[in-house]
Amino acid sequence: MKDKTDVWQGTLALMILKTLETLGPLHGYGIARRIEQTSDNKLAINYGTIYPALMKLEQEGYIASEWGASDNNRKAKYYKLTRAGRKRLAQETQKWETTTAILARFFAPPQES
Amino acid sequence: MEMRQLRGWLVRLFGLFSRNRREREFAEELESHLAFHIEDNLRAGMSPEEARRLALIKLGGVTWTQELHREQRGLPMLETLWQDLRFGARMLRKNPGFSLIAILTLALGVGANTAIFTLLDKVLIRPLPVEQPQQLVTFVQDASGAPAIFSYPLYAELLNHEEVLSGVVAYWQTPFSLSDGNATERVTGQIVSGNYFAVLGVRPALGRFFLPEEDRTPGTHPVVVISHALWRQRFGADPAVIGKTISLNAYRYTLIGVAPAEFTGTMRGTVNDVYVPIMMQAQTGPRREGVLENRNNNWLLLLGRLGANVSREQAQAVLATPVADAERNFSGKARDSVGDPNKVLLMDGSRGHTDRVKDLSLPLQLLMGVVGFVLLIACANVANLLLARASARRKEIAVRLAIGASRWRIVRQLLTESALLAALGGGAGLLVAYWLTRVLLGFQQQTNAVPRSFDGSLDGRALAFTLGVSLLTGIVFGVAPALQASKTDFGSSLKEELPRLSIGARRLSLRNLLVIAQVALSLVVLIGAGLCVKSLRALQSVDTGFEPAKVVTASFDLSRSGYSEAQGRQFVAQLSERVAALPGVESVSFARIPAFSDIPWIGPAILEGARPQPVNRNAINPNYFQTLGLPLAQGREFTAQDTADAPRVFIVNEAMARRFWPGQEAVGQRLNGGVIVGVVRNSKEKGLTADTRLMLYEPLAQNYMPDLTLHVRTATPSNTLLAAVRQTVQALDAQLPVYNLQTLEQQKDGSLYSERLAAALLTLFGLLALALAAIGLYGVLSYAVTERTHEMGIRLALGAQPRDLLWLVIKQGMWLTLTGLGLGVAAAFALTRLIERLLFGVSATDPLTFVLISLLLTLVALPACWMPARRATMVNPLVALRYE
Repeated sequence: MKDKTDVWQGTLALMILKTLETLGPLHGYGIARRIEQTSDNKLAINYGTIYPALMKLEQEGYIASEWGASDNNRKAKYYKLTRAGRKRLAQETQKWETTTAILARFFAPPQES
Repeated sequence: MEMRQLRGWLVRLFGLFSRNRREREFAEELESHLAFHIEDNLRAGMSPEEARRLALIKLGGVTWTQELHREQRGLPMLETLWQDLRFGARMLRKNPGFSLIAILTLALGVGANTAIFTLLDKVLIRPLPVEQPQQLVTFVQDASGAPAIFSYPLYAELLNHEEVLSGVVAYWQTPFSLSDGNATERVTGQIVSGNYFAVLGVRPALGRFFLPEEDRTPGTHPVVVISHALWRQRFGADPAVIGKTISLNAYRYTLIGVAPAEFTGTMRGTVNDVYVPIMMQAQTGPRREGVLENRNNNWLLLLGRLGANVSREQAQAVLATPVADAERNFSGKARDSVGDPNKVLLMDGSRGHTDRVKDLSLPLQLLMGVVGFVLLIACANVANLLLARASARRKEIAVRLAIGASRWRIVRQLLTESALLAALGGGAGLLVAYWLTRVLLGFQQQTNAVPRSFDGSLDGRALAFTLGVSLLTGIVFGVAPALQASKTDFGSSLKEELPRLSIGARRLSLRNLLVIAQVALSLVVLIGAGLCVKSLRALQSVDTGFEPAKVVTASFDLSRSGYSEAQGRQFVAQLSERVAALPGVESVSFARIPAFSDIPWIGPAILEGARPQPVNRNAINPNYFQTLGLPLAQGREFTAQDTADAPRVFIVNEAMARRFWPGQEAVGQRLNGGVIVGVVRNSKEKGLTADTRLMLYEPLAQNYMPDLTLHVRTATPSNTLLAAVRQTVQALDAQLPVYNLQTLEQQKDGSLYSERLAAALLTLFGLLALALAAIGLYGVLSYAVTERTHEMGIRLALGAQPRDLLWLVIKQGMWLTLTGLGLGVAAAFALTRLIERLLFGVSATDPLTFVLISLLLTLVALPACWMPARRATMVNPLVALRYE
């Protein structure tokens, strides 16, 4: 149970970082919405789970937050990537690509020799 | 990555402190989140209610989200602990009576343990404060650990065996007269080989230790290292003492260094204040001339350091060769050893030489066991108190379980409370320990010629011990009540109590078992105390054969103040004359070995044509026996006519007369080139527990001794007389240190140090155990009566007499007491054998002690039963029944 949560939290963190990289500074609701949309609504999450993940990233210094105003002048807390966050995202992306490449070889149909 | 995680934890730790602000901020964030979502939903064409409802569902609920947020924000474990602690503190404050009794009980138990542990640790357990003490070995005579004594030449040969011993140090411990030009005092010091500090791996606190050239040529380098304590007390911790000149035994030395505070020498149970190189030994006293070359003079104790990867057995085998060679090539003895002279026996030397503390080992271990018992009793008491309180809190716990607290959570809460209790008890215990170590030191200081033989201060190890013991007790007395309380079946607890008709039920409940154990343990301790007290009484009433209460002594050592023999004789004559003139003084004499002293002086008694036999010797002045009040059986005392030029004369005691000349008149017999002129009655001069020894006395006039004890007989010894004696000595020589200034009665008490210590402490702890057990019994019965109020009411309503109820409760109490007594007697029977060696004139299973102590315990148990019983009879049946 715990392992699953950890994996989920790690994945969620990565999605948050990627979202912030793509869209720039964004509030919690926007991030949750974007993750859901990007997954083509296949990832049905409770939006509440986004907040502990955001807090953890902030505590570890990968993102920073600041109160600001939205387009329609609503007060909201905006999150943005820090330098450490960009670095982490780059590392994780690379790791992810390597892993998927390896796995892809395993699952690919056997080649004629 | 790890750094980032650490940063995360730190931020969370700080998160604990800004809870309210962060809580508000998050509420705002959620509000804005919901506003965004609702707006989107409205745009999608939902009704306002629907938009809000769906936004909330999608979020997962506000409370849930806040809880998630909180868990990530701070450290929930710490926060719960803090909550539990605050709640626990509140509970303790709410029941001050309960808390006070529990804390006091624990303080006494923990304090006693810390004090005895401190002593045990310093005397027996801890290794020397040197580098790698486990590599050190002592050279011993046999398995008993009595040290072998070596001559200097043999020591020098052993130095050449670096293949097994990376270093060997030699030393001899002896008193010194230390003077800095103003006052003179007697201190203990060691004459050490130049490599002493280097091989031990001790670093100077100030200055330096000995250089190699300071230990090569006799008498050329008068340098001294002093202890940290002496530096502080005598020299006010002044760094400028290095290079100063001080005098030791009237010879001037340059002070070169100060040893670190924790280092007090290598002989356990003594505290050394000065260290001088072996090459200065001739200057430390006139009796040691030529011992550096003399293979026949054994005086050095050896400590070796094993080389890397060398076992004791290997070292023994290698060192046996030079020792055997020395024994073979040399007519005398190169070392003193009881075992095979061609062998070397090495023992663990990590604690230095320990034979001085051997006598204390058994009493201290015994006391450690006893205080352990006392602590167990204290734990049982507190556990019982907690059990009683847990049943009073049954409802509170049931409510908490009912609204969803886990059992583990409740247990944790209760354990936190008992840990808090234990911590408070431990803290108060430190005060008790501090006080108790003072008492123990007081005991010891009364009885020692040389001050500061142990340092009794509580240090880090004692604190660690207290902490450990407190935590352990917290768990020991906390776990069972916590588990039991959390087992509460809340169905029945939430309802009003069911009437409990528990006539004699649950006889072996946890509470009853605890009380039985308490009674049994306290009985064991009390019987031990009883035996020790009886033994001490027996010792104190031993007939010494003379009158110690009327004799005052004062010791001094003229050789250590630079007196020649002629000067010494003149000093003794003058002192004798002046003291005799003091008011109230009846007679004055001197002796080399004072009464009740265990200083050994054994010499040969040679009958013409027979093998020499070892006997105890002493050298005395005229009137010695008259001064002690020890009558002569035959012949005369030494007189002023028995001078150095007169024929040699001796006095023997009756035991020696009977052994050497059975059935004959001893007076007039010849011995050691002299003649026996008197026979004195047997006495306990060598100590109360000692058997009567063979004693041979000679006149000081015919065998000059510079190390003397003045004996003064007076009708009523007083502090005034003691002061006058000191003044008289100081008027003759202000620089001469005087010690052992006391009555022989005090000296006698001093010789009973370990017996008095054991008796006093065992009595103290025994009474403590008794009080705790009585409180425990009272507590359990009171609780039982409260629980059975309802039943008592019914019984009374049905016509029972108050007397019947009284009997009912007392019967329960007595059943517990007697069961405990039975177990206790059995345990005591087995355990008191362990202290048989400490007992004098009383058997370890002395029936009278066993019976009396059992009676005492019963007598104390009765009121403890009677008081709750009386409360039972006062139950008003109407009130008791209406209570439901």
